[in-house]
Amino acid sequence: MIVVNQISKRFKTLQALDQVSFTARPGTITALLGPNGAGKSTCLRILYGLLAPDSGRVAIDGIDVTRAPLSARRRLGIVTDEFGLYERLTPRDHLRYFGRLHGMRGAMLERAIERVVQEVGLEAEAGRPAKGFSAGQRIKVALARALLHDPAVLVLDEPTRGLDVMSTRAVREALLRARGRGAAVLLSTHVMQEAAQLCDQVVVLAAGRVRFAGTTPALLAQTGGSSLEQAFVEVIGSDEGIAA
Amino acid sequence: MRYENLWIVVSKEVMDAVRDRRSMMAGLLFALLGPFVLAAVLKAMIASEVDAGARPLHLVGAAHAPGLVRHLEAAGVTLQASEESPDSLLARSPGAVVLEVPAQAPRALAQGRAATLALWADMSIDDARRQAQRVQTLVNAYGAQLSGQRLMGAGMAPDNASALRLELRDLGGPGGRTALVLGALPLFWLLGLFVGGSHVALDATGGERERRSLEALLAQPVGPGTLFIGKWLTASLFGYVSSAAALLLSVLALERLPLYEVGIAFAPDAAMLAQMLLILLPLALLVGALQCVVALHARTHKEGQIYLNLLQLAPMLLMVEKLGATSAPSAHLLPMLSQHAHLGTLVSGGTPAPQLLALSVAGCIGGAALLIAFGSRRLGSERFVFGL
Repeated sequence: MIVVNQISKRFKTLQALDQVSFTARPGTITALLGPNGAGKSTCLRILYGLLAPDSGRVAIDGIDVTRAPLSARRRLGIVTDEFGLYERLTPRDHLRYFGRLHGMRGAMLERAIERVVQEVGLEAEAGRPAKGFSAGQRIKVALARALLHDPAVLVLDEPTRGLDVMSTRAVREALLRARGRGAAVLLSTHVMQEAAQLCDQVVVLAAGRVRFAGTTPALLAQTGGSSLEQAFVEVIGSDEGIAA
Repeated sequence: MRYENLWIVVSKEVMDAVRDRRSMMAGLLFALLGPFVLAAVLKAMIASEVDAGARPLHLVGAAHAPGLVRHLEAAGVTLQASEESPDSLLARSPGAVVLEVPAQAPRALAQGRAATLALWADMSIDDARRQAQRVQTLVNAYGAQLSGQRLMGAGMAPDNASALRLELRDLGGPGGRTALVLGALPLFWLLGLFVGGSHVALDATGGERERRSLEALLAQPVGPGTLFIGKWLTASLFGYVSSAAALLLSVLALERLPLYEVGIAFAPDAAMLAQMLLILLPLALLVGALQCVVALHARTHKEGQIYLNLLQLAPMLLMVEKLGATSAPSAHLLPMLSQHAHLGTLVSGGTPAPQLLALSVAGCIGGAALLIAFGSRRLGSERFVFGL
């Protein structure tokens, strides 16, 4: 479970996050929805301990991220904003490296690698160096890397950005399977359709503040909008930086 | 820090670096090229020095100066009597040196006058110049001997005619130039440290930023210090292997050269090799740390390459500044200068003082520790990682 409690973060003159609070529960997919520059990536980076909040607290399965970032990260599967690969390493090499950093070893690690390779549909490329991989193949490797240690919490920063239909579908299916296994999934996106189709609840972030946190029907009810897109525009007060 | 994680990082970086065959071979070849070139130069120099001793002196008119012939032969000069004119002889073999004794020389000497001999040589050719200078010295000495005899015949002490006498004491010995070139060897070994690990440091640090893999790596359950140390150890290892390869190859190449013919004894045994490798180790750790810190600040591969190529020029500093016997002991805290001095001492058959060795280790380890602390802090800094 992810508990974000009153976090604020300021970069020089920019208040990137202002008293942000929300919860992502096990067995649910939560969308962190917001236009570009809303503070989604900042929020996620605080979540996996790469940025320290100026105030507030984030707990992953009850572990304070600021106090014990490494313990918190062991429970996290992460697809970061940027997912560059080591070009001379194969997807299996990547998975072996990151699995070992998560404390996985031997036959258990190899079984997990084969499981995620099948799960994200990387069988054909798994033994080939990553040089020249397409955006879809790259995100599959990043996703497999995040799922490898069967994390209790899965955090993804705009994972379908720039992907074709088939790759987007593969990502969505993987997220639904993770939810089925009981993981708390948090996904940042500015794609309405993705949030509407996949997510059990949405957290709308704009200009560093939470404008709404709850289920999509609740969002529609609150705003009286006919579509999620309309509701979103109502909540943030602008239609800048969203995609249908 | 978990040592297991450190090992995981090192093994991944080694695997990644080894698969970059082109960069690895380029680094290694560059490091090995120096000793190869040096061995070839030394071979040519030895041949030339040995040849200079055995080169015959062409003597035209030998019959007119039997005393001079005896004097030159006693000094070890190989004479080759010739009746050909010096002009045509030199036209046929341009590097030859010809001493010409004119037919009137015996009469001039008998009459108590000065006899003029001619020495023909092309002084722009190294070997000919050295041989001509030697002949000049020998002929002058013989002339002084004859003058002395004349003065004694006139009842005067020979010293009346020579108030000053200059003796050349050549410290270089017969293989002086060869020894000088041999002294350049440690420079190539030090260069190996800089060249061998350069591409690894760049790929493991600045490369992570350029390929946008740094954020995902830092988000794993491993501290930035462990990651930086793992990358530093890998870069240092490649630099050290490259330097050690250059050292061993130098020894193998030099063992095959007839250095004894120019009076140089260079036959390092296993203990000496081990000492040399141990001297290089702390410097390898420092150079690896320096390269990782420098490359970490590069935003692109190209930018990093420029920085590291500039860093590779560091050993050139040794061409202008060196530590010698008169240097203060504390100067051995200076990395590279100190290792260079110790390696030079070993190459020339000496033994570096243990306290100076300790200072050179302390200088390197202290410097490396500071750089590692700095690099680890940078990797853990949100301002640095996200360019805030």
